[in-house]
Amino acid sequence: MMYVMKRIVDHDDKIELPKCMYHIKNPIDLTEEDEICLKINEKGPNNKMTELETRQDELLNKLEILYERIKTISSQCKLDNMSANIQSSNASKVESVITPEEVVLVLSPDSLPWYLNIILKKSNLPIHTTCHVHSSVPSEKLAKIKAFTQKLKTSENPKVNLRLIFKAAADSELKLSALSTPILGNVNILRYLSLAYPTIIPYDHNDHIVDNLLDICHVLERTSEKNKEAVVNRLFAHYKTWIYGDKFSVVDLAAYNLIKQWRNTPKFVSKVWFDKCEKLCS
Amino acid sequence: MVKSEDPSIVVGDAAASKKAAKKAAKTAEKQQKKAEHKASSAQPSTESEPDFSEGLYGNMKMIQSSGEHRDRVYTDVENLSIKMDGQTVWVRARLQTSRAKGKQCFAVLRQTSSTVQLLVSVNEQRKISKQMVKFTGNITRESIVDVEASVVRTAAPVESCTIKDVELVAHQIWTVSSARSQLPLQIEDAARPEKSDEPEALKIRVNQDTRLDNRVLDLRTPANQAVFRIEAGVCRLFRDILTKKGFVEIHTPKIISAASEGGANVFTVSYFKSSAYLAQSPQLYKQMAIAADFDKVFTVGAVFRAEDSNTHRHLTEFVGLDLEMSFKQHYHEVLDTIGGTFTEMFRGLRDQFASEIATVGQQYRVEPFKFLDPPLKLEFPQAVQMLKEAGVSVGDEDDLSTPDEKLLGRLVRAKYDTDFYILDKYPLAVRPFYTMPDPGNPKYSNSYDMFMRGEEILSGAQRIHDPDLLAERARLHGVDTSKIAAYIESFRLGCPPHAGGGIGLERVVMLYLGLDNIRKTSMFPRDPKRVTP
Repeated sequence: MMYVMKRIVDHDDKIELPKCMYHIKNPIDLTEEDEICLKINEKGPNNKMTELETRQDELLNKLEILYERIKTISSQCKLDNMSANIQSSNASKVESVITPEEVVLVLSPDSLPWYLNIILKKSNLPIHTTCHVHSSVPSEKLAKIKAFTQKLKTSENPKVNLRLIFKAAADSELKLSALSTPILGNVNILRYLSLAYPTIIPYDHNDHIVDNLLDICHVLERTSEKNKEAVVNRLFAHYKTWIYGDKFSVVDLAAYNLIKQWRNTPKFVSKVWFDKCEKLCS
Repeated sequence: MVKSEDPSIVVGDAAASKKAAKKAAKTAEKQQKKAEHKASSAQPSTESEPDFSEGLYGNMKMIQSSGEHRDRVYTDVENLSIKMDGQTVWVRARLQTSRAKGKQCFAVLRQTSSTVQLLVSVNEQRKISKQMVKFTGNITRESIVDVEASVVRTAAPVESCTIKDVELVAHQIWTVSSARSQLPLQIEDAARPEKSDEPEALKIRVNQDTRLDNRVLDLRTPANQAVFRIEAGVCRLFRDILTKKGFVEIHTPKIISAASEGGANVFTVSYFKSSAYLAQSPQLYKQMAIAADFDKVFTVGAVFRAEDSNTHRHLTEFVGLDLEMSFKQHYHEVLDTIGGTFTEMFRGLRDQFASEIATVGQQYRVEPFKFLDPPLKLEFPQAVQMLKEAGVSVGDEDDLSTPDEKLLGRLVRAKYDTDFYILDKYPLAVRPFYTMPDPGNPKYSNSYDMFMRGEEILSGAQRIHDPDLLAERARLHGVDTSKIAAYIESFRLGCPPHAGGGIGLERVVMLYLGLDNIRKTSMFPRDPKRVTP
C-alpha cells in the first residue's frame, strides 16, 4: 500500500438485530423517574392527613369552647362548687357593694311557681327572693299572690337574687339579663332549672320519652277543659310509682306544678301521686 | 284700636318690642278692617222679612250681676244624655264651630272637654226665624253663649262630638261674651292628633311657639284640659298620701341670702339696698325644719334654676314637691317611704284619672305607664354591669350621662317591664357635699335617684347631720364654709339622722303621660327664652 488512510466509513460495526418486534415498558418494573414520583406521592396522602388533622383540631377547639360555655352557664346558675364559693366570699369583702346575679321570673298570677319551693328548700346556695306585682294586675288577684309569696323562703347574704314579677296574662318567662332571649313557658323553665340543679330535679337527657312527656305537659297547660282528661291519660301512660320510672323526675315536677293551678284536682289524676308531690314541694 | 296688643309685649328687648308692637298694630288694623267689611256686607239682606224670633236671640247685656235670671238652672254638657230626652235645658258653653246653610244651622257647643251638637232650624211653631239662624251662623268662634234648648235623641250617633246620642234643638240663643273674629289659632287645629291613621286627615298642626304665645286659646283643647287636671291630681295625691303617712306641709322662703345647691345657677334680685337670690331648692329649710322637731315634712312651692339649658325637660321656674324625713336606723326607711308614695300616686292616677289619661292619649299616642309594687330597687354597680353588657362602659366613680340613663331605662324596661325604678348607692364623688358617705365603702354614698321612662325625676340622699363631718365635706368640695355658717350651725343644736328628696311636678306629669316636652305640662312655662305670657 502506498498511502495508509483512516477509514472514513466504518462498516465493520456489528449490527445488533432486535430479537423482539415491539418493545413495551414493563409495567411492574420501576425506573428511577418513577421512584422519584413515588416519593412525592408518599407526601401526597400526608397532605390530606394534615388537612384532616387540622379539621379535627378545629372541631376539638370548638368542643372545648362549648364546654367552657356550658361551664360558665352552670357556674352562673351557681352549681355546688366549693372553690367558686371561696373565691366569691374573698371578693365580697373588698367589693361588698357588688350584688350577686339577678334572675327575673315573670309569671301570671294564674300560674304560680310551686316548683320554686322544692328548689328553695334543697338548694345549697342561698337565694334571696323578692316579689313585685306589676301595674297590670287587677286588684282581685292580689290576695292570691300575697298568699303564695308569704310562704316563700328567702335568705340573707344571698349568692343569687331572684325577682318574681307577677304580671297579668303573661306566659312565664325566665330572664337572665336584659339582652338575652328569655326562656318561655313553665316546662322550658323547668328544663333550664334541672340543668342548674341536677341533683334536685333529675332529668335524663338521653331518654327521648322524658322529653316527649315534658312536651305533653306543655300542651296540657294550653289545652281546653274538654281535652284535659285525654292529655292527662297520655301523660300517665307509663305511670307506676312516679309518672316515668320509679324515681321522682322533672316530669313529675312539671305535671304537679300544672295540676296544682287547677282549682280542683280532677278524678283522672292519681291522688296518691299528687299527695306525694305535694309533700315534696311544700 | 291698637291698645289691646301692647301689654303683651312690654317685657323683653326694647328694640324688639317696638318692631313687634308695630307688627301687632298692623295685624290688628287688618283684622278690624276685615270685621267691618264683613259686618257691612251682611246688612242689606235682613231688612226685608219680619223677624218673629225677636226677644229670643241676640247679644246679651253685659252681665254685671244686676240680679236677673238668677233662677235659671244650667245643665253641664257632659251630663246631657238620652235620659233627658224631651226636656228643655239651659246650657252655657263655648261655640266651637257653626255651619249655616239656608234654613238650618249646625253648631258645636263645647264645655271643658265635652262637645254636643246644636241645631237651629227655621220653624214657625217654635218661633225660629231665618234671621235667628243667620245670627247663629255669624256668632264668632269661641264666643260664650247661653242656649235654651230641648234635648232630642239623634237618629244616628253624632261622631264628631263627645255626646253622641243626643243633640240640642235651640229655642233661645244669646251671646254672653264674644270672641274676636280672627283668632290666632284654631282650637280644632291645636287639638288634632299628632299622628293620624287616616291618610286623608288634615295635616295642619299648631307649633309649640304659637301655642305658648296664645296660651289662653291653646289651653282650651281637650288634651290640655286633661293634662292640667292630671297635674292637679298629682299634687293632690302627693299631699294626701304624705299627710296620711304623718307628714306636715311647710312653706319655705324663696328669697334667700346664699345659694343652697352651690354653683352659679341662681337668679339675683335687688333687695332694698343689697341683693338676694331666688331659692334653687328648699333643701336647707327642709333640713332646718327636721332639726326643729317636725320629723316628717313636705313642701310644694316654686323652684328657680338659672340654667341656660334649652332642652325639652328644663324650665327656669317649676313647681317642686320636696320631702324630708327623719329615720331611726337606716335611710332605707325613707327610701321605701318615697318609693311607696310614688307607687300609690301612680295607682291613684291610674284609677281616678283614667278618662283624662285616655283624652291625652287621643292627641298624643303613648304607651301606658307600667310600674311594680314594691318598686324596683337596683344598686349602682348592678346598673354599671347592665350597661357593660350592652357595650357601654361607665367608670366606677362616674355619674351616668343622659344617654346612659336612657339606655339603662330601656334595659330595665326589657328585663323587668317597669317604667319606674330606683337606683341606690351612687358614687360619692358625683353627689353634693351634704351627702352621707357609705360606711361600708368610702367610694359610694347613701344616695339614690329615681327614674321614670329612663329620665331622672328625683335625686335624694341621707344628709350629713354631724356638723364636723359636714364642715369637712364642704371644705373638700371647695364650698366656702363662711357662706353656709348658719346652715352648719343648725346641726350643732342636735339633729336626728334624716334623708329626703325632691321632684319636679311638671317633669313627673310629662313622664307619666309620656309627652315629649315639659312645656306641655307647664301652664305658663318659663325658660331662658320665654318670660310671657
